[in-house]
Amino acid sequence: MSELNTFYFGKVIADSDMLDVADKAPLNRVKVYILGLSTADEESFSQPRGSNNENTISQTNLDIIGDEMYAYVMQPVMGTGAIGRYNAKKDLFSVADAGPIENLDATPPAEGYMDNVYDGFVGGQGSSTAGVNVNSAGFAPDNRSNSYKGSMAMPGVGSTVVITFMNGKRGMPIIVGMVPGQADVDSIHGLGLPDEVYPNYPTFYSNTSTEEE
Amino acid sequence: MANKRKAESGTENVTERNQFVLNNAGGAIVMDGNTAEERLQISHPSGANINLNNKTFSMFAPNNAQELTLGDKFSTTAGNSHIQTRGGSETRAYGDITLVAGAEAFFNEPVADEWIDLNQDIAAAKAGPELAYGGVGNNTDVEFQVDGTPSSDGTVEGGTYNTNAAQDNVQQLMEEKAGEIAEVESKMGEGGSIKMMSVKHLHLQAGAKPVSFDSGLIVKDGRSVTRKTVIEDGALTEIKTGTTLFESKDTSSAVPFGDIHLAAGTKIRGTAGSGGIGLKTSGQMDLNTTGRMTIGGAEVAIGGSTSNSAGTIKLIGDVDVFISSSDLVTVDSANVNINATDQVTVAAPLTVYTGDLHVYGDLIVEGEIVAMKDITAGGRGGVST
Repeated sequence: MSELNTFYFGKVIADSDMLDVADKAPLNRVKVYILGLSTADEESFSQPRGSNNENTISQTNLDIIGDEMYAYVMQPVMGTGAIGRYNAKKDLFSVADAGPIENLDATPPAEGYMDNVYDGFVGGQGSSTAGVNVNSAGFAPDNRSNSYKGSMAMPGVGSTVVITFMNGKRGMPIIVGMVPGQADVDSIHGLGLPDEVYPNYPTFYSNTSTEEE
Repeated sequence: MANKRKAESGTENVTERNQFVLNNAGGAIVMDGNTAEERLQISHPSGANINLNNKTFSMFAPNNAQELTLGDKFSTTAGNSHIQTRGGSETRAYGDITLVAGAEAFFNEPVADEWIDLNQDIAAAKAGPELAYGGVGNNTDVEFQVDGTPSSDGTVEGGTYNTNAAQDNVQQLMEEKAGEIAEVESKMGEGGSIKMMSVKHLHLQAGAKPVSFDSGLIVKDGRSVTRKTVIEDGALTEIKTGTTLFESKDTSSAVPFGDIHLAAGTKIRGTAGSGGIGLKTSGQMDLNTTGRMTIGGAEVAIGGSTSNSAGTIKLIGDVDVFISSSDLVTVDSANVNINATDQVTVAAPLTVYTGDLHVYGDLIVEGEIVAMKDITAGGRGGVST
């Protein structure tokens, strides 16, 4: 078994795959420093980038990783995960989400509200309150019908990720998830106190059956 | 590692771009992290969406929108609030509906009292006479100073009076108070009025049904009054008759519905077009003022009538009841009584009595007596000349 057929911790050092003029189209990929694998030199940093950080990744390793392949980002399954739908009885595939599947160009009602939807306080309505709402046209939906189904996101620079390699090949790294660290947990569950407390973090109720001695 | 792609615009180097999308055929949740354009939007294929961004929090429903709150509901708007309904609108409360307008200071500080106190002296100066001929304020009972002498008949009219200094200095007094008054008025804030406007009709109704309990007792012959006075055997004899006694009864003050209360701190002005104004009640109607009341019109009719023909009218004045017409005054009744404790004066070039004139006292004539027929002394059948 190749040593690449396992999981590694990694740190995202670039959150895009459009870094070079040769990168023509985005594929939702990032650059990752993989602990114990990316370079021979050991690194010790909390955040890999930023002149305001005391420890960052070295320029040498940064350049080495820059020449590595981009890592894909695995997304969770959230129902149908494709552009389009298929009906077996009619044996039809359509990217249109709205209407009968025979209507391959169907658009949802939301498309009708992308422009020219105003509330009653837009200017020029002839009432004494016309024009009082400067955001009177801000009602357009962000319609994603006929598009990819599921989640689409990329980890930011400094994210701690779990990464592995498709088929054990170094040229196909893929991030399978993120792992929050102590600072991440504190930022969500802590109150910022010197002697930190975590009011919403599970502790006693589901874990302690007796009083501490 | 270096970014070998050159940004087309310099702003791209200071504009962070990232977007998280959760998308399904049932709708999309989009979170933008783009610099200065941060956004959370939940959209449905129907077009319905909730949009939270740096400018506004907007909700759009292309179809119906509804909301159900089983507890209490609170809504606070720090700025102005605008609600527009393009169809009909109904606001129904099974409890009370309270509409309040006005700056917070009106409820937390005695700004109205402060304003009245500051304007009290100005109002008193305005109410006083231009010349110092005295008088009493109709609401405050303040007696104004007299500086002069009345006419020979003791009246102000025709008298000689000096200028009322207070009235003369109203402008100066207003200027002196203007600063303090402006300070109080600034605490009253902008607005504070309720304006209700309808392009068609405005209907105010209190109570689900009208209440027509008896509000008074009509006793047709309840009071004894003089019908007429006759002279019999050389003596005056009063002929009495009964007139209506109306006893007002309170039967409706405790009815738990149907009251409308209008209270104006200063004035109520009502105008209506050619449709007119009608006020009708099955209870008592009071129109009172401590000031002057004017009732006028092309024709003014005052009537007292009941279903059993027992209506009465009373005109009462503390000092003076004056009836005037440029051409004609008619008093029409089967019997007319004029009671004067001092004198009745008829000032007319000619006075005509169409029937007999019976004088109980002496008949003193300063001019001539012209008789078309005999003058008889000693009563009817006496000596005539």
